[in-house]
Formats: sequence, C-alpha cells, structure tokens
Amino acid sequence: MMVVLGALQELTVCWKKIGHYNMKCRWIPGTAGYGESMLNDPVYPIANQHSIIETDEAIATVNVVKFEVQLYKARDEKYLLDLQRVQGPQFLFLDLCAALLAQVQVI
Amino acid sequence: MNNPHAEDHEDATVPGFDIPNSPDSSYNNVHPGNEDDARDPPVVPPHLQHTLLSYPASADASDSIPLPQHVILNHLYIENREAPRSVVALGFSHRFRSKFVTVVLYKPVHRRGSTSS
Repeated sequence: MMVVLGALQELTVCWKKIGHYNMKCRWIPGTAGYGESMLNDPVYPIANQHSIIETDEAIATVNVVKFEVQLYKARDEKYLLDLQRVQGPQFLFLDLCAALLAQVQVI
Repeated sequence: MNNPHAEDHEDATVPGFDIPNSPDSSYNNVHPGNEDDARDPPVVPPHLQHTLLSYPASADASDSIPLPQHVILNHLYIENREAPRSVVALGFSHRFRSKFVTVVLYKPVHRRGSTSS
C-alpha cells in the first residue's frame, strides 16, 4: 500500500483514507504542462505534471478525476488492488491508471 | 450512505438533491498509521471477476453480450497476459443513462532498462 501511495504522490494525485486499506483519490490534469509534456515523454506524460489549477474560475471547467483505491487480500499471500472511477472522463481515468500501474511496475 | 456514482453530465440529477463535493483540502495525503497495518486487508469479493471484458469472443457478430452487473461498474480491469507484451489493455464498464459503455484503452509497455535501436 505504501508503494501505491508513493506512486500516487509521484503522479500528483491527492488521497484521503475512507476505510480499511481504502483511499479516495483526486487528480487534476495540469493544463499548461499537459500538452507540452506529451511531446517530451510520449508514453507517460502524467508524471511530468506539477501544476494544479487553484483559481475558482478554472475549477468549474477543469476536468477532475476521482477514484477509489481498495486493497484486497487474495489467496496465497497475493494482494489485489482495486481501482474504481468515481468521477471524471473515462480516458483520463484509464490513462492515469496506466501511469499508476507503470509507476508501481505492474505494467 | 452517499452515492459515489453521481455525475453532473452522466446521470440525471434531481435539483436540490445534489450531493456537494467534499472540500478539496480533505484530500490530505496522510499515510496510514501503524494501527492500520496490524490487520490484513479484506478478502477479495467474488463478484468483481464478472467483467464483460472476459466474455468469450463470438464468431457471430449478431450475438449480443449480457448486461454488466452493477457491482463491477467503473472498476478497472487489466488484461491477463503471460509473456511480457508490447501493449497492455485496460478497460472498464460504466453506465450512461440507460445504456452501458465499456471503454478499453491500449497502452504501450516500456520495459525499464531496455535498449531501443
């Protein structure tokens, strides 16, 4: 779980604990850096973003991806990480998950 | 219990019954304390395995696949792959009004330390 949280931090994803091994996460793709960083790193541009829009006007129009992370225990000492989208555009969520899984070296 | 699936532009909302978003500052990035590590994580629920993405492909294009179970909606699925591949598929099913949409994204896989010609 600590590995997952470290990866989330690396990707500028915020989280809060809502249950046992259960986090609710929030991520805003930066606008200024998103387009450019895709040229720099065509595979995982999300890791290069550091800007988060904080103005009131921008929040109304900025895409926010919210999702929940739940860790389960499976058989044979294996663990299952469940990611569930709560809010946000579908492809942004999938792209963020791909970046997260790459960060924890599952992909 | 709050409904986690209410979305402004996907589900019909009743005016006056909208759930306000929790304050952004509540996402405090706190790492869990030691007392949380004492117990094991909960056991995997069996209903999560029933994703439409596992449905066997049919040669007959007119066959329709069953409706997804509501319990798996918005859960992320990754394709099973034995050997390391160059592309991995990620997908999930979600509800749009009275229909269900399954989205799949194919992402390239970059092996760390690999050399490219």
